[in-house]
Amino acid sequence: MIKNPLTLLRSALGTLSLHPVVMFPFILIGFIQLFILEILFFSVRYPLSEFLGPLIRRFAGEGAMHYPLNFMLLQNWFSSGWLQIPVFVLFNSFLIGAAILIIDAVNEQKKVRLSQIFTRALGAYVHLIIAAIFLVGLIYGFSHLYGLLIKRALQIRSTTGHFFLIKQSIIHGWPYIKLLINCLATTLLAFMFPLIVLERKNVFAALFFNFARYAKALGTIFAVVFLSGSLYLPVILLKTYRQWYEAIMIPELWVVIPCAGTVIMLFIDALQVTAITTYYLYERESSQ
Amino acid sequence: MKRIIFLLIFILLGLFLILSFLDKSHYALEKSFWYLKKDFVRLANDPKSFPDQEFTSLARRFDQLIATYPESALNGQILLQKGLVYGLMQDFEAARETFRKVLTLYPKDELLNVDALFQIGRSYEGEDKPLEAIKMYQTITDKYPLTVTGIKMPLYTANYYERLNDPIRAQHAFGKAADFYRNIYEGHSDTPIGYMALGFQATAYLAQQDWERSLDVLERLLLDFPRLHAASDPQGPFLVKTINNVALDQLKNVSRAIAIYQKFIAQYPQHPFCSGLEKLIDKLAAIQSQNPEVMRE
Repeated sequence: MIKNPLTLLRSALGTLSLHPVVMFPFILIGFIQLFILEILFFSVRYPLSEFLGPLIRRFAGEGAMHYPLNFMLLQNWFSSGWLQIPVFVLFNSFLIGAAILIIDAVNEQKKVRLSQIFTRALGAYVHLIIAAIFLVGLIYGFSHLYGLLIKRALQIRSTTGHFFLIKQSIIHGWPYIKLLINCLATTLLAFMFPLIVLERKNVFAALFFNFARYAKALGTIFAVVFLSGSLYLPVILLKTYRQWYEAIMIPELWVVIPCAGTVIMLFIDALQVTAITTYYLYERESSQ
Repeated sequence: MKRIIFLLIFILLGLFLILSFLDKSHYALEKSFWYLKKDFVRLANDPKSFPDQEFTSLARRFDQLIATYPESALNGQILLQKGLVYGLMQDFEAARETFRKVLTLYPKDELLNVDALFQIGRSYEGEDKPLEAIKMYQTITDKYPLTVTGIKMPLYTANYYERLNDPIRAQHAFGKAADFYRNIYEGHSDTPIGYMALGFQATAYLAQQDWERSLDVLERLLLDFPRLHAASDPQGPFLVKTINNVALDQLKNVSRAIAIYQKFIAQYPQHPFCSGLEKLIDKLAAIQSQNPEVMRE
């Protein structure tokens, strides 16, 4: 039954509601994100402008130092890869490792001792970082391939008909494809993190066992990741109409969208990590 | 866990309060100014549908803003915006007085001065005093020829004569403008100002329907500034389209257009435009072979 994606998601939701402690690492991720948002918000004002001002002027121009363009900078930089990738690799990887250990402790009905859990996750930190780099690399690889497709689409000259539709779909479908790529990459490397923290495998062994032992589970995991990832669709839709909401909302409220996006993404991450770990633990128990 | 969550919230709130407290920049002023400008746009969209009180209240709020932040570098702009409010009210004398105050208080701010002078000219336009307006535009051209507003003035003046239904003076002004831009270009070739001047020179010749000379300038615009025509820059395709229009529709001279594009490809073989231009040359050659009687060799 656990192999049914919906059952797995329901079980993950149950775990999260019955054991809020599982959310703790994700709350820490949320704190890091809000901290970054706060720093970006004040980056154009004294005293932070003394340090960050030259950087902003260099990369975003003088306009971004002033109201209301600073809010555009805030949105752009907050969601940019150069900021989010290091955060994911250095912090999120560690906290996801901790979350997996908490789920394991909850599953075994042990008392959750956060200090012990974080110490154990710290022991696997280097491997978690490398695993996160693999994940980011895979996402970048898929994105690069899609980039080639976009380049090809841009060469289509038709302004009506099927080819035009294909061109438009490929170009404007990018945010949705990006979500799909994230789902696909998460699925492909789904068991690396549990293998690293629960079995104390090194990252390369974890990568090997991820495919060797769990290839048959890819369908179920993809369904879980895709279904939970779909919760992010409204945020993508809103971001697509960014110009529209920027025109009708006051600049201060532009920040609400990335904030809401962060909260939803944290919930999705928590759901996915819990579901994947639950599946992993179930498989491990079944094989024993 | 609860304690840690409270601590995290405390850190975020504390940081927010500390950074707000330490903020010595004029961010709040910028914000207020932006909202006032938004109000200005609301009034400017349909000034007749608002009572005078709305305008005077807005002008007063600009004054209050300056009074709250007397040392701000934005005050010149705020004053200028206040003058524009008087302009909307058709109180041109008060508007000019405000713009002159900008000139007196901020004599070293070149861009602000150009804007103030231009707005004085516009206020004369509003009052149907073309002589005074044109005198002001001439002052801008003489004093600040290399500013973004200043460089536009000769063309603006010529267009203003057109708006006044004075085609003779307009044509004369377009001629003067073309000479002005030629001089600017000669002194500043290979700079963005030179690029702007050349573009305006082409516009002046086009307005005079001097197709040969406009095509010469358009050719130079394409050949002398290849790095400014990035593949994604809409100016590039627009320039090519204009060259085609002048060479084909006005001069009936396809070979001239082909020669310009061939010269470009020979000079910049790696430029992103080249593949498109090669296809264009093929198309133009086909047009030339189909209509030999209208297309000069």
